Amino acid sequence: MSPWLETMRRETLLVMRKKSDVLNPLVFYLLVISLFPLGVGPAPETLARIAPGVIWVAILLSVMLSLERLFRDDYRDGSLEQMLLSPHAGAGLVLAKIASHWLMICVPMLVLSPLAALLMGVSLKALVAMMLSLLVATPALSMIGAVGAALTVGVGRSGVLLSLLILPLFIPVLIFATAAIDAAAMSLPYLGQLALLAAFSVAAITLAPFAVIAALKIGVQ
Amino acid sequence: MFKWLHPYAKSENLYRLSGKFLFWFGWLGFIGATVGTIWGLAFTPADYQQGDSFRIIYLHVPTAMMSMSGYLGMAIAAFIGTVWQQRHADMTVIAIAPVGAVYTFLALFTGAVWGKPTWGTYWVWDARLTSELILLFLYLGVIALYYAYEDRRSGARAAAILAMVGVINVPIIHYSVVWWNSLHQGATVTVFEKPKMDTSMLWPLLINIVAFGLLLGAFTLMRLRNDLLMKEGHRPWVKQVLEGKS
Amino acid sequence: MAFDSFAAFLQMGKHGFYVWLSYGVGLGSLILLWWHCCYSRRKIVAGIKEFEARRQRRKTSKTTERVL
Repeated sequence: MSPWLETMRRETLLVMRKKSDVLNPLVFYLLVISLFPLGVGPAPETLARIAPGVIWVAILLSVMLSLERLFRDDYRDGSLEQMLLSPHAGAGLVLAKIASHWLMICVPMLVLSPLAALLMGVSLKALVAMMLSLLVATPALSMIGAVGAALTVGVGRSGVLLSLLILPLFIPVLIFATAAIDAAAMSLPYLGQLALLAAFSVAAITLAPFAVIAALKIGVQ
Repeated sequence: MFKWLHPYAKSENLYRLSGKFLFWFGWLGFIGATVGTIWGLAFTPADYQQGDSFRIIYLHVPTAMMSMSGYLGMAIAAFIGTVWQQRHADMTVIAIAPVGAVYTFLALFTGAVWGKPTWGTYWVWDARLTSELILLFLYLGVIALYYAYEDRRSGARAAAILAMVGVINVPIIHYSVVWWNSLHQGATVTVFEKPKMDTSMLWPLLINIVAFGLLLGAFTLMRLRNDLLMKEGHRPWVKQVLEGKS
Repeated sequence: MAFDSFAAFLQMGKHGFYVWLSYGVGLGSLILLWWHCCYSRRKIVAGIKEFEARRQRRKTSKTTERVL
């Protein structure tokens, strides 16, 4: 089996053994969304207007929370060092690791998002735009977030620091995504914004693994 | 080119060279900023639309431009530090970051204060203001990451990587006024087009932009020299330098 | 000179508060930045000098011990 698939299998196995790693961000995601109707009041038109943005912000936050464990356990038990020393070390392995993070964390949230959107009464047009933007942009979130997680792996308690590093980098993605959803809600074409988000993702997938490797090398030395 | 640069990889040479540059940057920047600011405050005619509140431009535009240029410079230093493994480039990243953060804060603050008489509100969530705010957070992130590491060298390396990743925001800030229809006015000064300002108002602005750039350089060099002294405190050359001076 | 009197200069045509607030904060933060650079330099230099002095003291005390 290729080292790429082997890494994916290992990550999946680890998550299956410790399901809370996947379930906690999901529960957090639903919890954040359910806080908003309580916070801003249950008026349907207000909720429908803010719902896509709320869902996006909730996804940003829960992805960020899930990132802390991305390299933490491997760093503690030394397998991260082995990974960097292995003959197959390089962007590929890191990419596999982050790809499995995306599959384990982001995809379940994507699946839950239409449900959350329906609960908040989002119109169909906005829902489609929201789902497309999420599908296209979440790989960028995983990639950028992995850089932040790798940079803080050598630092002790890194929760707040991680959010300070990552959230500013997430903001451009959020801006373009909400622009796409707004355009869709007004029945305007939003392909341009989606293309920009896709460009973000492609750029992040190409460049982020190298930054992650450089950052991990600082952490393990 | 790197043959020429190579001697400055030695801390001692870098310290002496930066001392020379610091003198010129500091004094030219100080004089330029004084002249430009007094000229702008007292000797330019008032704007026909905004009255005298437009005089904030002589602080707002230079700090805003230099906050972005500073980030770009920081990212270039980070790139050099990563590719050619130059420790001093990483130290430069850390030297620029707080100065850039102060400039960004000033740009935001003066922008908010200028916004009140002009737009009637201190803050709007439009693209330019938001992305300048992101820039501030990026600077703060670089500083925070540096201080989170116990080992200064690892911290500087990590901060350099973060600076490079964050550079994607600079073009977004720069073109946000063009891409989005925002409340913020378009760029007043561009390199290629004829400026949209009267020359009597433009000159002090240009002087201030250059002066604030020089001051950014001067502050950076001061901080870089401090870091060099701290890192190499017990080498003979430091003793020589300190004795030669006092 | 764009103003008739010094009072008018301070007033800035009703916008005095905004203009002087921003310039005051600007000047203040730049001075603070400069002061911080100088302050940390003084502290670093003092630290180096103290270290050197201690090393010197320890050297001399060792020789006196040997003499005794």
